[in-house]
Amino acid sequence: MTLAAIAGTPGAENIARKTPARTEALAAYGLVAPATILLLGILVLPTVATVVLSFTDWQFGAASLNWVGADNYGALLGDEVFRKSLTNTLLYVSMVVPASVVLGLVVALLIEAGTGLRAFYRAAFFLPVTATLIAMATVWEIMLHPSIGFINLVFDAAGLGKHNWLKDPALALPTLAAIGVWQMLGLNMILFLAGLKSIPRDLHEAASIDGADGWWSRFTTVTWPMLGPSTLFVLIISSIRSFQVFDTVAVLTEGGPNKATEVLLYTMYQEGFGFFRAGYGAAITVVFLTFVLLLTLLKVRLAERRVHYS
Amino acid sequence: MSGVTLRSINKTFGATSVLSDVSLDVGEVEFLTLLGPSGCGKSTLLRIVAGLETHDSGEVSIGGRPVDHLRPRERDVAMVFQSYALYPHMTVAQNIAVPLTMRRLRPWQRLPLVGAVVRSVRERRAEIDADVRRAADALEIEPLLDRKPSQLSGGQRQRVALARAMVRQPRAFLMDEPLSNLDAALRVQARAEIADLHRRLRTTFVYVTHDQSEAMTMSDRIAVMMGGRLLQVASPGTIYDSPADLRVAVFIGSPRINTLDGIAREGGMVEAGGIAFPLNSGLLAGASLTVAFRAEHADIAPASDANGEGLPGEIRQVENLGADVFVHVACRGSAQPVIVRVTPDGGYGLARGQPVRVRPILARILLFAPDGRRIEARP
Repeated sequence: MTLAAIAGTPGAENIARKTPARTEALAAYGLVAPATILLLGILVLPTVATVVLSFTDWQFGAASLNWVGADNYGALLGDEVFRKSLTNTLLYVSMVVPASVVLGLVVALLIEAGTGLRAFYRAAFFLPVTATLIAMATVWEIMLHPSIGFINLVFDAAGLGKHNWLKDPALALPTLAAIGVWQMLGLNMILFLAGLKSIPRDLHEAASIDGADGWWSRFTTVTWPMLGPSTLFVLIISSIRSFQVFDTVAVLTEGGPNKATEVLLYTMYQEGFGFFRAGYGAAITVVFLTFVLLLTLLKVRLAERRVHYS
Repeated sequence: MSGVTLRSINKTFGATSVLSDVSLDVGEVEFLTLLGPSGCGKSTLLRIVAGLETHDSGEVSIGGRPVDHLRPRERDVAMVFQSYALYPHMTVAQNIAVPLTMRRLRPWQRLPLVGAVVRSVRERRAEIDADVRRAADALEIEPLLDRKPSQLSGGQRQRVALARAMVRQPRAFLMDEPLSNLDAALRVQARAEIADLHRRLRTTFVYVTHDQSEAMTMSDRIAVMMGGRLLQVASPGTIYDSPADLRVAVFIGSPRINTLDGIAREGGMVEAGGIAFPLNSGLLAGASLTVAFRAEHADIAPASDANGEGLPGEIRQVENLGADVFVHVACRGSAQPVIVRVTPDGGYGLARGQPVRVRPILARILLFAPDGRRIEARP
């Protein structure tokens, strides 16, 4: 066959070009399929199902359900328990986030500045993150026991009197918040330590030559600005995690005393699995998801805009 | 009065000695380059001058004032880092202003909005702004003042680092390989700019580099360091033509200096590569030494030359670089081929495998003792 004959064959080029492209496309779909299926199955479908359920009166275990429109949400507005629960959750977040972020940063700076026992301090502060909170909550329950608890013994010895930490309506939520801080501190510390490690040494040295060699001016000139990305991440992660508070409430107070520690996820759990009002529980979940989604969007927005330098 | 003076500086990291007994005087308006291969201790020495590293023993003074006990900011030096170390969250103007705000404003005065309320702070801020503009103007980066470092090219960042260093008019400039992150063309340009900056500022520059062309083109004097010791401190011309140590001779110059194993003979002769040179080494007959000469200090003669003068050898390679031709000749007494520079005309007709003679210029031959020390030869 001559060259002219090959070139003259109609469609020969097209076939040769199309087949590899199609194979490549198939391979590409094949490769993204597992991740897509998992995402759909674990994340997207349950979320959609929850949103759909929140517009029904479905009872947990019931064979049928009725479409009730926005009735569940209307009921939420008038529900004393839900309002209390939402306020408590926001209060809890506003106590836990600032405390755990600031303390996490302080502990990270202290560990980074110190020379000895670094690994020990890192492990000690990180331990609560790895431990099962349910088990730890039981330990806290004993520590907080009004008459034989270690904490009251210390308070009594210090002349500060004994307190009924978990049964006093004024103290119960702050006490849970303190446990939340204790639990979250380690993660924030580790994230800040990673952030501190990534600050180039040159910058600290340039600052000390430029005259920023006191701890405060060094912190404001180099450390704090360079921790911007870490701080944003820590803030958002802490907020989302404290919105999710549940374990300690379920184990230690069950929402009491007198709804003083009623929080969103606990109310949702009660409605859905205690009173079997799955539709109503789903509506609470949607409210909860909206908060988490807003926080995530905020993070994406800010991360795109300001806090990244390179 | 002097710029920077070092007296018997010693420094060890654990068991390894990084600097041993380094003494150096840098003049008040001198551009001195610390040159050496990586790991020779030159950066550590610079960091000791800056106060970023402490020395184990010895004395550092800047402008005639001992500074051993002083913190970096009190030493009145500016440093340009290899990475430039610009603060990424600040604009160019803010970066250049940092050394001034840190010195001229108290911590509370640096807080935001204080300038809007307190008049003295506002006035001082205005002075700082004027100084920043002056420095930016000198380095032609005024249009960049509002940008962030991430929006600048490598060459622009380097200028900002220079501006931040010069804005305060420090007593000494310390530069740690400031050009090594630039591409080759930009490096040549920046070289000229830094040399020009030195002429304008008329102050002490201590410049660290491993690049001999930077050292040769910019410096008043070069201090060659190896293994934590100063081998020679001299002008670029002296370092090249009259190295005090074999290691200096080998480190400086491209192509590498030619070296031959030699033996001192009676009657003021040195034998190397199979022939005798009339060089009086002053050593006892039979002592071994190294005979060295640069590529441009020899020529090539045909092997058939009746006089039989020069080192016999065989051409291994002819490298034509346009302006120069480097002829590699395998000679007796030298492990590596001897390299001879000839003009393109002189290189014409030379080919691989051809037997030739290499004739070094007698007056330019350098002799070194086995410990590397230079031996002054009397021809």
